[in-house]
Amino acid sequence: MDDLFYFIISKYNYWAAIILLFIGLYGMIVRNNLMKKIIGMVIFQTAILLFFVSIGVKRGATVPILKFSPDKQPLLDAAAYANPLPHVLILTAIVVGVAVLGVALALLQKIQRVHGTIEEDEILEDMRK
Amino acid sequence: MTWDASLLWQFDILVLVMMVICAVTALALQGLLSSAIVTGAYSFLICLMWTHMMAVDVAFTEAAVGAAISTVIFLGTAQYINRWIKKDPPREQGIKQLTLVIGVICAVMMLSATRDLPDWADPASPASTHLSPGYIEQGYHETATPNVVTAVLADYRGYDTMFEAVVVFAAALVVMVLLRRTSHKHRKVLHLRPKREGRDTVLRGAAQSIIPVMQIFALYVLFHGHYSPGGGFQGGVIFGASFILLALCYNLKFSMNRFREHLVLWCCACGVLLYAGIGAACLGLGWNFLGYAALADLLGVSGKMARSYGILAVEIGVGITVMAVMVSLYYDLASGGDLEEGL
Amino acid sequence: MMDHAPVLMIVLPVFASLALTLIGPLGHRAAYGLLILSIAGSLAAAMATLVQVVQAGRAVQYRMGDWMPPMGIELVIDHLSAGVLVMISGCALLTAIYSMHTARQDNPDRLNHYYALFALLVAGLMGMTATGDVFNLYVLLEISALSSYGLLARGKGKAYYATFRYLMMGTIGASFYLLGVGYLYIMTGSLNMADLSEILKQPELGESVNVRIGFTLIILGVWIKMALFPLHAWMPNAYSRAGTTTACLIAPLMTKVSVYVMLRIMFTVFSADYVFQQIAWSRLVIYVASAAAVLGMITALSQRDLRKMLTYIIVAEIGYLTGGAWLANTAGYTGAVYHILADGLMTLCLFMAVGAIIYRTGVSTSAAMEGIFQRMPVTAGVFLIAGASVVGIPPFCGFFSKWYLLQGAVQAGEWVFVASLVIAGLVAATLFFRLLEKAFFGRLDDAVLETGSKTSHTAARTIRWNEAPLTMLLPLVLTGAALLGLGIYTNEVVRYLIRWSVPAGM
Repeated sequence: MDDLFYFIISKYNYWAAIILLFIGLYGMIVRNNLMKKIIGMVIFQTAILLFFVSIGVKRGATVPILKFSPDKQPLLDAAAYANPLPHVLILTAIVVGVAVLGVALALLQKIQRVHGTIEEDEILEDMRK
Repeated sequence: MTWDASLLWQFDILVLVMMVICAVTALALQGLLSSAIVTGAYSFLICLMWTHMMAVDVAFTEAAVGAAISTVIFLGTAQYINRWIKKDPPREQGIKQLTLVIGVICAVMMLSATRDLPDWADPASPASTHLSPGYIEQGYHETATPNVVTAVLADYRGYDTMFEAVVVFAAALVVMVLLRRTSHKHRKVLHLRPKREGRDTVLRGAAQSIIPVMQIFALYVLFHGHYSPGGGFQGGVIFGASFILLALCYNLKFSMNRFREHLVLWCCACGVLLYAGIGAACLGLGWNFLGYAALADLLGVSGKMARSYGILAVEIGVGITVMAVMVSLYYDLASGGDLEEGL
Repeated sequence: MMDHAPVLMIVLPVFASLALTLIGPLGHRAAYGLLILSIAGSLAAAMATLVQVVQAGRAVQYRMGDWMPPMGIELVIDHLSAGVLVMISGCALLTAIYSMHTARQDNPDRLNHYYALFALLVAGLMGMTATGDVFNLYVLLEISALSSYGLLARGKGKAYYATFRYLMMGTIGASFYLLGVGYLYIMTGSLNMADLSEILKQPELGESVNVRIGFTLIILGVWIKMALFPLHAWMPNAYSRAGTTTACLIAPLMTKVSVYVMLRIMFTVFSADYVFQQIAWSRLVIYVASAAAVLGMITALSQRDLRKMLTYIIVAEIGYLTGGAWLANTAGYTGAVYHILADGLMTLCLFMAVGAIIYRTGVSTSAAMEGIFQRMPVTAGVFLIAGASVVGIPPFCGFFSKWYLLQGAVQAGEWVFVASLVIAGLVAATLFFRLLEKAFFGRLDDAVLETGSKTSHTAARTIRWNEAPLTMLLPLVLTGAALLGLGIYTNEVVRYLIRWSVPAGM
């Protein structure tokens, strides 16, 4: 029983990331409305970011900003701080995500102007004309 | 098999369940405005999660970028599109079910494979033992920057960060090129955007008192990034948000009189130029690209302090670019490219 | 300066794009000159690095910010990437020269911003090829993707929806790649390619199911980006609706660089042993590739729009490349790498020739080919060369890549792939023969002449010399010559470049 409990609490973060990933992917592929696809894309991307940040967590560790002892010496114990590398990667990836989001929304506005709709089936119909 | 109670798994699970609910709701709602708001709530929840995972810099960025700016540009776009969606057409049902089945199979495979992943928060996992101790233990001696995330972001992986600034610059350029197209015929424009005629004293009063504080805070976040969470991105986004707030509380023209679109574009490029220029200067001084230690002689300080100053300088570059890009995205997306009237 | 060539070839276009944005509308000639200057600098740096690599016989490394590799980011340029880098910058330079008239035609406004995105795309592709860090590759992938969305959306009205679909698929591909990198990072704790490959040699990681998931996700992401057959649906519309310059830049380069990334991941980060022994689905890839080659060519045959036809030829070529890489022997690998270079040039040549024809006739269907030999003999001649190369006729480079691929397929006993190569070749021959028949014997009074509408029936019947402008002809002829040159110097290319990069264990 303890093992099962340990198993659950040592993995739930990855599970949440994978579930969110597929919810987002479902939205991107299946939904007909382009705005919904974009929202799916946002969820899909953040799920991956959640996965990455989960890698950086360490038990008993704090934020990766060095603490100083009273005589101004930094405390350099690696086990005391969370892994900074995933944080750096995800900072980059968040910014990339908002860049893609901006471009996607701009395209959406253009599609609305040219086709008069943002429903995928109506756009395809409009293009066939 | 001891479990550190300080990680509060009950809280985590609650937040994660709420995130899943928000994600499903955002995709299922019929109204686009409400989906945009729910997506914002989703972003806030993920911020909470990340703060709890000790990723404060990341949570800070997500709060500024994901929850604030993304929601604003979603709402800005919602003015120009049909706000209510149709039900998905029936002929798609087959494909829908097929995708669902494939998705569920993949998800189950990946979920069952998590058994082999190192345990969550395990200090002995490869990710925590291979590179990260190096950054934590040597980072301060080599860069004189207590915030390890800043040191890694702007120095060890400074090349990534330069291209990250290029990415946002490219996004601003693409959005501008797409929307501000002079020769385009506006065939089926939807004009749902409100006319701003009445003066809203409460909003304007609030903006007047908040915006200066916001801008000072943004500068603090930028310049104090060596010692506390924050840095160029976060500071830049908050500074950009202050102009967006100005545009929201007054109107777009009011904000544009203070920060003209030419200047915005100029700032977008100048920030990246500052970053890349510092890199090139190091190269000119005989070191490798972005080797800030090259600046030591120029500044008359030691190599590690030169790195610290180099980090500050490139963070300022990133801050300028990000600030201008956020403003530019808002100007273009909220006005539909004509820069007449915003949200 | 020689030492800094690896970084210069990436940042020069970045500086050019910043300058193009800052100096504002100085006039299109200044923008054009600046773009060409920066890409020529990039090409020179790439050539210098190539010479360095060939002379030294080992990879050139460049440490960003003077940090030691697994901590910092390094650029690694070996024999494989050096060749691809020269190909990218060369193709980009030719396209830049070619863009003189077409870019202005497609972009009546904001030409300098268009050129800024052009330069950013080149920087992104160069950076992807040169980097030795898997996460850095993701960032540069997104730069090239974002700038390509901007460039593609400058096409005509229907381009917006096509670009939107491309954006969705591109984001899925890039995100899969990122997630795969996450899986590798969680299992190994590293992001540097050389370091990763050292760590992945541990037997318990070779068995690990999560490493396999990571590998699968990365390869799947790259396949989406390179439009391998069942995942190619986004490509034809996106490319065929783009402006001429955009198509000439993106069509040859984007997919080839993705193939390069696939090879990098398969053989540098992982190893041939791992890919072909641990991955259960690796035997099936060859059938997917065969299907891509045959169906791509057959679909190309049924297209009326010239550029759409060329896009489906790319789908088929991607099938050749993937098949070659997954044949698991030296000949197949050689064929695949050689074909990256050859197909980059062939695609560029075809798109340029078709672009010139469309520029002069204003028609984009195959009717534009009518009587092209009389009106635009040089363009038609180069088109003939490129067609011959795609079909695989000896002195041109397309023949040699097919030769290596066939040799590899026979050695591996993959008769399905052999058959698909032969069938695709025959279909390609039919396709080009049909076009050339029109080009030679097309009735001129049916031909759509730009000036024909004004003049009388008899005037249209006379042969009208209406060749493309010199800025378009020059790069076109150079590309044609390069096709021939690459074919003639096949032995040297294989001996000095490709042999060196053949992974161990083949």
